[in-house]
Amino acid sequence: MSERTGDVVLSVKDLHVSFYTNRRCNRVLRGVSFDIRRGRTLCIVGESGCGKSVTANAILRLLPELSRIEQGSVTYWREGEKGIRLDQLKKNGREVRALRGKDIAIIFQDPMTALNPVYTVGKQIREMIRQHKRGMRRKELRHESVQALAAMGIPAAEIRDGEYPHQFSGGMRQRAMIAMAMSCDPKILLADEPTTALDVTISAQIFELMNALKREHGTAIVMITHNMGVVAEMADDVAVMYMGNIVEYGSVEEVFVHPVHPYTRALLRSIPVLGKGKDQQLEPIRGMTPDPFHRPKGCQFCPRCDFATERCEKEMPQEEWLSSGHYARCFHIGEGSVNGK
Amino acid sequence: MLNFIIRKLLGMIPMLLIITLLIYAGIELMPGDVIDFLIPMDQLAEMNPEQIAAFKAAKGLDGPMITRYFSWLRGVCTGDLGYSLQNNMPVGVLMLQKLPATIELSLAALIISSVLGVALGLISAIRNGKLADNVLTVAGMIGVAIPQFLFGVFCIILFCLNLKWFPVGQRGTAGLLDEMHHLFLPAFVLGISMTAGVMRYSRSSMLDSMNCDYVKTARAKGLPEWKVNLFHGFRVACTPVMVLIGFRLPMLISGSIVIENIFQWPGVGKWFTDAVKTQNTPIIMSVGLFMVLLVLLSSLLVDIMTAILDPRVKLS
Repeated sequence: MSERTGDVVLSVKDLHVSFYTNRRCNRVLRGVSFDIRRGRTLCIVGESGCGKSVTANAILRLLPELSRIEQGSVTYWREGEKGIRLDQLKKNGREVRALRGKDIAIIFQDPMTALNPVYTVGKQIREMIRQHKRGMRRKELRHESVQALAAMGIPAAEIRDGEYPHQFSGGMRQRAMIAMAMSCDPKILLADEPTTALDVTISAQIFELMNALKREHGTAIVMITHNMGVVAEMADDVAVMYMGNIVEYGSVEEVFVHPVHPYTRALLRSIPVLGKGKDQQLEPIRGMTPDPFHRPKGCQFCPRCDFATERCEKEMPQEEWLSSGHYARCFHIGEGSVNGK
Repeated sequence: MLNFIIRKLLGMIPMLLIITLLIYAGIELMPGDVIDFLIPMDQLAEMNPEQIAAFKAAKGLDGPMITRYFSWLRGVCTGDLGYSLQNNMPVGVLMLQKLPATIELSLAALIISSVLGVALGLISAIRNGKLADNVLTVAGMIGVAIPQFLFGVFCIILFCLNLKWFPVGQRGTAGLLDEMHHLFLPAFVLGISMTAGVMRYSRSSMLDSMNCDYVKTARAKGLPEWKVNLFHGFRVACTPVMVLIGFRLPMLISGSIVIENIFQWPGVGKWFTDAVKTQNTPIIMSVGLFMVLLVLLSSLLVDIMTAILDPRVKLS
């Protein structure tokens, strides 16, 4: 196990995850590495099916039944303690359950279904608090859940606490989810596309809320999204994923201003920029995402890449470090980057 | 809520009238004349038409069907269920003698099938695709396929005659323990045949629930698996299962007829089938009325239960 460096709270190293269905194996994650730092937001961005959500679920060991962490490590660093190897803990066992919610909390994409319809919102928050802080009185518990809701800017929290999820609007439900996630003051908040199901103004409010949490509690946030605008808005660090690999990783300035991986560059060219007018030339990325059961042999992006050579077809490039916090997985770093974006 | 219940109860009145009228008409349509069952063949051959008419008038069997129906209805409204045509015993008294045995048997079977069915269904869902699930699936198929009378006779031969664990038939009389001893086997046979359905239903309901996001949320909170399964998975899954069990209530009364015959159970079952065979209208109508009432009341009960279990449902 490697030593902890700086303010890293969680490090994922060379993570491989496979899903097994109908005797076929889908190697969903193929060596994902990144660090999560205290008080910073890491955005994991990529298209559908690239393994963003799987990464978040793998950290908390919430993967579905027919899946397996094949290789690699997930290490959680608690203040002044030895690292905890999450990947080696028993699934749904006592140790991992003690971390879920308490140290690492997660919020899901669709707040409509993530809350249990038959319990009041307050009860669902209290259920989490009771799980991690034993011996609290009913009154104290209720006070905590009302406080948690009020802290997320839910008006009339006293009353809302006793209401059911179906009486909440979408934005309010996501606030309630975040209230629940933050109720035990976690060190890491995993947000799995938290605003995909919400409209733009509500998402802006949710993001503002998450930024405030980061500032005030020093919570490390992992934000999973497929929206580059969200990344620009929220991220301190960015990990761009494609077909189970992080193809480029770095601070938001490095990745957005000096993108080196062809996929990142193509991605940035394919989105319209607000204020540039109606006549923007958008370049879609050519080709289609490959079938996960019939993946390219070498670099996963190779069939769609303009710079692909014979070597790209045969092997997956390793992480190429450009500076202390910026890497890309490509054999052709630098090529075409001058006239690139 | 109270408003809803009152409205539902009032709505039952026309239903009751229509259904009982249909049953009455059904009895009327049966081939043969009641008189054939009331007077022995040789006597009947010697009677002249006037005597027969007088006999019918005395029993209230003359006049058009609709007037007889309404006179029966008037009786029911004043608490008089009529008299058995066979032995002139008041039907109300007879019902009170027979019903407790049937209700006891049916209720025991309902409890056995619900508890066993839900429990096995949960195990089946949680161990989805594993050995336990497969074994229970096969057992469920067999449970559905075996006819009650066959299973009942098999159980009597095995447990009563060979192993001598239980008495053969009849209802216990000597105290609670004896009653339980007599009750167990017929209730078990009746219950088992209902279990399979409840089991399959709660399995699929539970699987649906366990695939929902809130179960993942519950896991992400750090709750132990048993709490995730019970308080989140099952709590939501139990509503449709409750509906199924609620609608089974009246079926148990009708379903117990076969078992009552096999186990010599002194309930409504045999009495009712005999009444149908001899066109004993007052008895058929009384038992019919009871069953219809049970169906309507259990549907009301299901509505109320659903509203209690699921906060999204509003009674109105």
